Amino acid sequence: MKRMKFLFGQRRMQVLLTLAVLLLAVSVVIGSGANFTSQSANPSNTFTAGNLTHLNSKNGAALFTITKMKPGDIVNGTVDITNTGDIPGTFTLTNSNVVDLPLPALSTLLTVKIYETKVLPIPGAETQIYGGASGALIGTNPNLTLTGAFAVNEKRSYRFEVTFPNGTPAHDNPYKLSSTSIEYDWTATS
Amino acid sequence: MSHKEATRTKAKKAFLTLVVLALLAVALQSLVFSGANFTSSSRNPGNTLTAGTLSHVNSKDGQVVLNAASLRPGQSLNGSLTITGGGDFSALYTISKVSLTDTPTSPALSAALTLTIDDMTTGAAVQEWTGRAGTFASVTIDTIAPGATRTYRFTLTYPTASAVSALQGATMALRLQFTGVQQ
Repeated sequence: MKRMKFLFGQRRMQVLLTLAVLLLAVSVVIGSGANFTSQSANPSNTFTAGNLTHLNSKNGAALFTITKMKPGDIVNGTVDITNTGDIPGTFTLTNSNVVDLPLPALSTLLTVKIYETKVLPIPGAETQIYGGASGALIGTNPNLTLTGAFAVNEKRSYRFEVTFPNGTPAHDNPYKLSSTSIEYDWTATS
Repeated sequence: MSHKEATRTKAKKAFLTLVVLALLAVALQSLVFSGANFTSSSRNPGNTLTAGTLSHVNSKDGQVVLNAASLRPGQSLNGSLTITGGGDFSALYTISKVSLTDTPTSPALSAALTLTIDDMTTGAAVQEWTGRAGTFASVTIDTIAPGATRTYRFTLTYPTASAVSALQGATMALRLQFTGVQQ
């Protein structure tokens, strides 16, 4: 019985080997059947990262340096922002490094309104984008996302209007010679 | 395979599975946190806003300008002071009454005396206000620039027509104040 199984196993092995040889032969026949062929290639597909940069017309400099402000005064500072990269960018405007000297804090008295004017590619009308009717306290972080991504080469102008509210002498006199310093930060994100 | 070998193999498989899961987690995390968009930033530092100041010097601050003791009907007495502008701004000045005290209150000496305020800066009198002392409330005088000085003369007159015997020994104290508002 054991011998029968062995012989049967041998035969099965022979069948398998035969089939394998046949398969190899067929594939050689197919592979060597050399039909006409036609080939094309799309080589050197290149992927280059975009570049997001912008130009701040007063980068590293102040928009305004105002001395001798008095109640009722309104002063302005302007800056142009241009997307000089090759991809669109969404801009945010924040402030930082608010320093008041001496107290009381002038940054809690002065108000600011921010206006935007589209310059390129199509000039637009000036629109207030921050501060509302009475202005926002200048020391408060605007944390403002500018509406609409800047297209490549798009340029917008921003005007900061700062007001020293005209209060009563008792309210305003303590602010004589007070000073506040503020940094404005622009960040573009693709 | 012995029981020990089977257990060891299972432990190895479990360890490998943990390592694979850990690697997957690290890969996923880096995918999440490396999603960083491109950014570009610029700054406008040092925007500075400074309030100015306003002050003035009164040559007789806190002092009596005119002591009209023993003023008689038909007599006038005057006193002067100077105001010098200070600070960063020109200011428009006002003279106002702080208090008026008559003794006795009736008849009041302030109702009988005439007060005249003149600007004497140029030497010639330029009248700023005149009337019964008791009716004076305030008068806006001049704009004074920082460093500029103006002289004011206060004259009290006791008109003869206002004289009544009940006012003999009467007194009047009028306290005035100069206030400048920046222009």
